[in-house]
Amino acid sequence: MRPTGLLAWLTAALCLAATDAVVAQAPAHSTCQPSAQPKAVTDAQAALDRAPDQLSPRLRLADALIDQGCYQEAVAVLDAGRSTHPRSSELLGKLRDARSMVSEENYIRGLGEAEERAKLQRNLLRCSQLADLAACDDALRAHPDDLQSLLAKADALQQKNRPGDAQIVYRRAAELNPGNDTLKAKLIGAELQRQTMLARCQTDTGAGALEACDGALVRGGDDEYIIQRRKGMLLQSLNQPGSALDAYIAAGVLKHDDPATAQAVVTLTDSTGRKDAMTLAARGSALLTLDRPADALRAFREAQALAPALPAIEAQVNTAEKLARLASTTKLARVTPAHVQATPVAAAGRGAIKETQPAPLSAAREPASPARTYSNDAPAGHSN
Amino acid sequence: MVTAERRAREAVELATQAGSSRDLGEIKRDIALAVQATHSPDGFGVQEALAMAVNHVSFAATSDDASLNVQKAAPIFAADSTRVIQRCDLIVLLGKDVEASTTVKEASISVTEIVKLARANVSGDDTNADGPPGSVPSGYGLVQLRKELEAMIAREHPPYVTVDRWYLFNLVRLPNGKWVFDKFGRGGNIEGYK
Repeated sequence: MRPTGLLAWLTAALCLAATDAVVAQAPAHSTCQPSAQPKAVTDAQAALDRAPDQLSPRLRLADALIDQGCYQEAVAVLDAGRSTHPRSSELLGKLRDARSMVSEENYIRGLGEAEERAKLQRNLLRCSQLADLAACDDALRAHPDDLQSLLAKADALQQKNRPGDAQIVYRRAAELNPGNDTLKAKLIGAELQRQTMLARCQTDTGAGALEACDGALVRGGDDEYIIQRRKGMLLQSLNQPGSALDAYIAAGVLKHDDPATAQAVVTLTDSTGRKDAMTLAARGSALLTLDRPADALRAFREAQALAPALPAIEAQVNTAEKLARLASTTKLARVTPAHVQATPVAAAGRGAIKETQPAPLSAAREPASPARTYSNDAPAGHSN
Repeated sequence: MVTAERRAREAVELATQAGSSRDLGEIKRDIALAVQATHSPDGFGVQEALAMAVNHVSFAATSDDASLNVQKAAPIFAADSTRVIQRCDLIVLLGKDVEASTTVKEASISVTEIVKLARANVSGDDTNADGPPGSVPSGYGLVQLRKELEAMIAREHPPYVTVDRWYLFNLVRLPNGKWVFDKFGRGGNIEGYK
């Protein structure tokens, strides 16, 4: 049935008598599938099947279909009745109305599509002309695999001196369009720009160098560790200990065994006083690298207390416990050899120590951190 | 359609004026007026005028005595009008960007686009770069839409005639001899020629 009131006016205003071509554009609703029809429709269909030449069951079926919003199907039912009831004004009137509803649906859908296209055009314009990354992301949200949008975003990132991020988006575009020479050239251009920024990151100082590091950074790239560690140093020199700690933690996740990075994490956790679970876990890992398993165990336990579900925290606690025990017995052996020899129990203990201390602590460690994952595993449609 | 075209030309003039200015405040004022001429429920912009034209033709097509010609042409006209509507939507969005701009440079990017869109709303554009502007429906402007309507009217047989005389209480006599009340005084009856 037609809606009433203002809505009726609006929808009626859009009612269009249809050509067959226009009518054919309307997709069938999923609820209009024969298997999904309600009882009113199936009953009306059964009545029409029993008396296919009668007008009233045909009209009832058409009404039932229109009630369900199945205008296309109603048109088909009414159209099929034209041969048997060519002069029925009721049938022809209803057919005209049903066709106008189909056309109305098409028109309203057209308006909605026009609005969406307008938004996309606006976003692409701002993305490509103003390097407006929010607009790029909006465009990609609506059309994640659209080459034009991907290119516009990658270009915008490069324009913003973020060639590392630009490369990720260019690669995504290249995956979708293999063999595209423009993309290959752009990827090479982005890598050249990135190398220049990497050099500035490593040799310059201050905020400019930091910006260069950010621009050169590629999550998951071969030089990610070097860049993160460099960022840590630069941020420390710029008196931003919190951000420096983040950079060192990121570097520590990528490479466990660098004592300099580990020392920086420990020092900065002390100076910033940060006590969140992630930081404490990173501190624990750093302390293990520095062969301080007892301190590491304390940090891991604090992290575990704060966030028991922290990935791999239980394994880290176990590793630290084991190493702390080992370190404690080793220390005992070194400090009190004469005293230990005095008693049989202690002698047995010494034997036990000898058997369990062949390797240094750092070599005995199990991986203390979870497997390495990268933030750029997310779709390329979002700015990092 | 006459109003839609008039408002579209106003939008072109205002946007062009904004495009030639180097004063951000002036640009914003002109663009705000161009947006109003394009879309304004109160001020009856291009979009509203065009929607009314589509509605009017659609009503005519659903009336009992609508010719097959009108029945066929109305949905096509409605579909073809969506290109202009899309440009109007885009002008509104870009108008907001101009309003939020902090520099002339930033604003001018949107203004340049608005000028192009406003012009295309009048005389069409060459979307697929294969001919003159407005040669295909996807590039139609209001000029082409008006011609489409005029062609539809020209195809009417017997020829379309307007109601020539009103009687008391807006009573009119239709070409088919029937008497109806023209409630809105528009020379027609929105309930159709019943």
